[in-house]
Amino acid sequence: MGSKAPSAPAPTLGYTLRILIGVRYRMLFRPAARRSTISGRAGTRGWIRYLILLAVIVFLAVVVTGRLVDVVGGPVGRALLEPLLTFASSAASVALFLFAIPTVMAALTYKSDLKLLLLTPVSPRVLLAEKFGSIYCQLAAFVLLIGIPILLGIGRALNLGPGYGLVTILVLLLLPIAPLGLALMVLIAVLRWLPPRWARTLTAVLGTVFGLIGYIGTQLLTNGGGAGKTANLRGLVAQAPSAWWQSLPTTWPGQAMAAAAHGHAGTAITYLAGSAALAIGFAVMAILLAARLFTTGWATYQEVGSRRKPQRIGEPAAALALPGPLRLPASTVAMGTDLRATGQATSTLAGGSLPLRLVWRSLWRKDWLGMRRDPQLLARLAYPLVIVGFGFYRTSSKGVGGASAHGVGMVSVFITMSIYVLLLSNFVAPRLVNREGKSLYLLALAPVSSRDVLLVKWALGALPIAGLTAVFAIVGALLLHLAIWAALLGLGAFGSLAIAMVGAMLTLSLIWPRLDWDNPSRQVSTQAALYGTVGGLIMCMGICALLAVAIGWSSSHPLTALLAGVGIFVITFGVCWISLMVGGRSMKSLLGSVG
Amino acid sequence: MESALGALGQPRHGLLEAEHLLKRFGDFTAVNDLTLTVAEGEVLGLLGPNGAGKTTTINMCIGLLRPTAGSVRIAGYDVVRDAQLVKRLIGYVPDEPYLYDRLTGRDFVHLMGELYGMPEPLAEPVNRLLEYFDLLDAADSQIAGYSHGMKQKTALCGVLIHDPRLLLLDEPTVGLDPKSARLLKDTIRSLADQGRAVLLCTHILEIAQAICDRVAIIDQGRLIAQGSLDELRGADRDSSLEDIFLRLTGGEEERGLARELAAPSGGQAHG
Repeated sequence: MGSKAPSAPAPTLGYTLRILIGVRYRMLFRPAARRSTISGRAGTRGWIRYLILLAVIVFLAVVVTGRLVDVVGGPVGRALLEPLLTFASSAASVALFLFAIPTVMAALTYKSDLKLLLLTPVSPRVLLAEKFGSIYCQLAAFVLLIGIPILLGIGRALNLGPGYGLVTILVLLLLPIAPLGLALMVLIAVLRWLPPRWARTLTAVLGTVFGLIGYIGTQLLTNGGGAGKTANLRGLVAQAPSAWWQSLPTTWPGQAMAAAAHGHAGTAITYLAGSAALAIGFAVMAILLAARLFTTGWATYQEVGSRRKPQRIGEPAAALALPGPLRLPASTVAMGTDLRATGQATSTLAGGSLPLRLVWRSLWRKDWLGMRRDPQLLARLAYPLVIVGFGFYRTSSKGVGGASAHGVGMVSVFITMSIYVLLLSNFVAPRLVNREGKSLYLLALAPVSSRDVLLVKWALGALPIAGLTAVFAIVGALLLHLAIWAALLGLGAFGSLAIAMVGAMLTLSLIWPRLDWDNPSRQVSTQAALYGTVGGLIMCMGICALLAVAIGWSSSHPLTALLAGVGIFVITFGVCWISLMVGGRSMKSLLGSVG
Repeated sequence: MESALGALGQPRHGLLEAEHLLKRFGDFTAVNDLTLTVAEGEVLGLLGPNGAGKTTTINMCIGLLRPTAGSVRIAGYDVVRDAQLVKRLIGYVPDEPYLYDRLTGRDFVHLMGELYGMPEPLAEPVNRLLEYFDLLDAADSQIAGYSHGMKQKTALCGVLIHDPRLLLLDEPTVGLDPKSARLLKDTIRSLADQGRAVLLCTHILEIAQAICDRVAIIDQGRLIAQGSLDELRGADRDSSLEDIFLRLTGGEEERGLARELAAPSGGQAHG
């Protein structure tokens, strides 16, 4: 039997692809279909979610399109269309490469189906091509969603004709292929030399650094309002033709679009063909390389544990003595089958739950150690801090103190503070409990009440944020040269906003928890993230407006100002109270249903 | 079946007393009218085919899952009503030990000691447990880098640090090397001999046969047999636990089929 060759024929390429694509389709759509069958409300909520997301994208696209049309509008601007599009295609290629890295990393290292499929008698090339295709679809959807409204919006505003539209769509479809191929090749090399955990950390840190550079660069380039921004962008775009990167193939898609915009069909087709050849070349090279190196084990890092002392060979396990009786807490010293019947309950097990002080100490230590040892988390935390720091730098560089303190400067500082509180709370709060993941049963089984867990988790998130907020609020007050009472009001307002915001977002994460994650970047459920962001944004705007009224109108309308000041604390206290009530119930329900 | 069950002697005092447990998930009944007792100093093996309801039963016994009907008492306390009191008395190790990846093994065991209110300093008992389970060399490495077996042993340390009266272990030997599995078996027996009660959920019948005082076999959520090995053997004194298990859970047919498949092509199955 062992000498007989397998009689089943190898699966054909078409058959394999049909199976794999069918599986992807079922994984993508079946859960949603089932949910909507069980509950019509779930399906409706899903659609509402997508509509809100679409509305946000369309809004952003309209804003960006308007700005770009300002730049390239008119006879002067029209000459800048080519440098703008080549710059955009190069920048998009770099951004897609950076975006593709964590996606490819997740596909290669987290619990994906790749290892399982590589063991089947299917060609590794087919498997990797299919995996490449599925990641490409995600990137292409993202590119089309962002790119079509902006680029076609420009085309329509400048009457560029259908040729431009057609080339633009083809360019957008081609754009993610080469960066994805490059990311796959780079990661294969990286994973050979670095353990997946380190590689993930490295990409997270690098992603943060590039993201921050991008943010600060954009802010500096768009410095100034209205006409100033347009002038800055025009200045930048005008320098593009002489830039070093103009010779890179990343500009070809932009050249194709520019040529189509100017009606040069031949040039457009040439650049488009060049872009397509390059993209296909990268894709084929990446797939062939990945297939060869993965199947031979070259691209798999062999994780080696820490050096261990030689094992005690030959020592029978039975000879080892179980540690003697530990110094037991009073509750467990008493033996006897029925503690309730013997009346020991009141004396030795009184209270049942651990005192809050001990819960606080142990959970704080656990979360602090976990956070300190998680460079990915630390890197993500840097975002809001840099954003608020840069916001203050810009505010101070404009000199908004004194007379302008009650005007644009004050609103600018308040908005910066609100964005900081929103970003930090939005990142920290939903992860406070979700970070426990499948380990949550450990807390559920510990003699700790759900209310205490909620309070400790809330404090763990809110206290550091409120502390940092206080520091930034003082800096903001100094920048604005605010009176002491106004500074204290601002301090209280943003401090209470931070506490309320963390409570609200923590509660949302308890209502819509996500504990079955493998990839730490997916610790927050879509509902919690969406409702948290929208609700947080509304709350921030409300508090900002009330604070501006309370400080700005203190002389002209003192009663209104007083009511606005009181309103801030009524709103934040109300949110805290609701969070405590709803969060308490949700935490109890969550801890009681972990099994 | 009724007669077999009726003949079984129940221990006089049960530290764990689960009565008429019922758990429904929609139309599906996972556990149906299950009554179990585990006494102090006793190891009860909970056996059953895949999907029989073992893990659901354990989850109800530790309070992670609320029964649709029935009750669980531990040391006289109701698991649902007196949840906080009960939690101090029990220790649970799941089949897949999800621990805190960013903590070291030492941090984790220390944390569990703190969470269960163990008096400080905890360094010495933590070290003793880690040494006992041969984890001392890896104690200061993050759990993320541990093998499955090391995680399983770390989870056990985290449970034993507060010296629970009742241990509930779900497939504790899965992923352990032979030496560690042997150590674990000896530990379970030793803990029972010291007066703790152990509810052991396993597929490995050899382990159940070696260390369990009594076994309970469930199938499709129902308790189909309970008692010591001798009681379950009945008149057939030579039968093994495997024979009994397969007879009760209907695995005899599958065993016959497996023999046929293993036989040379065209040949007859051997007895």
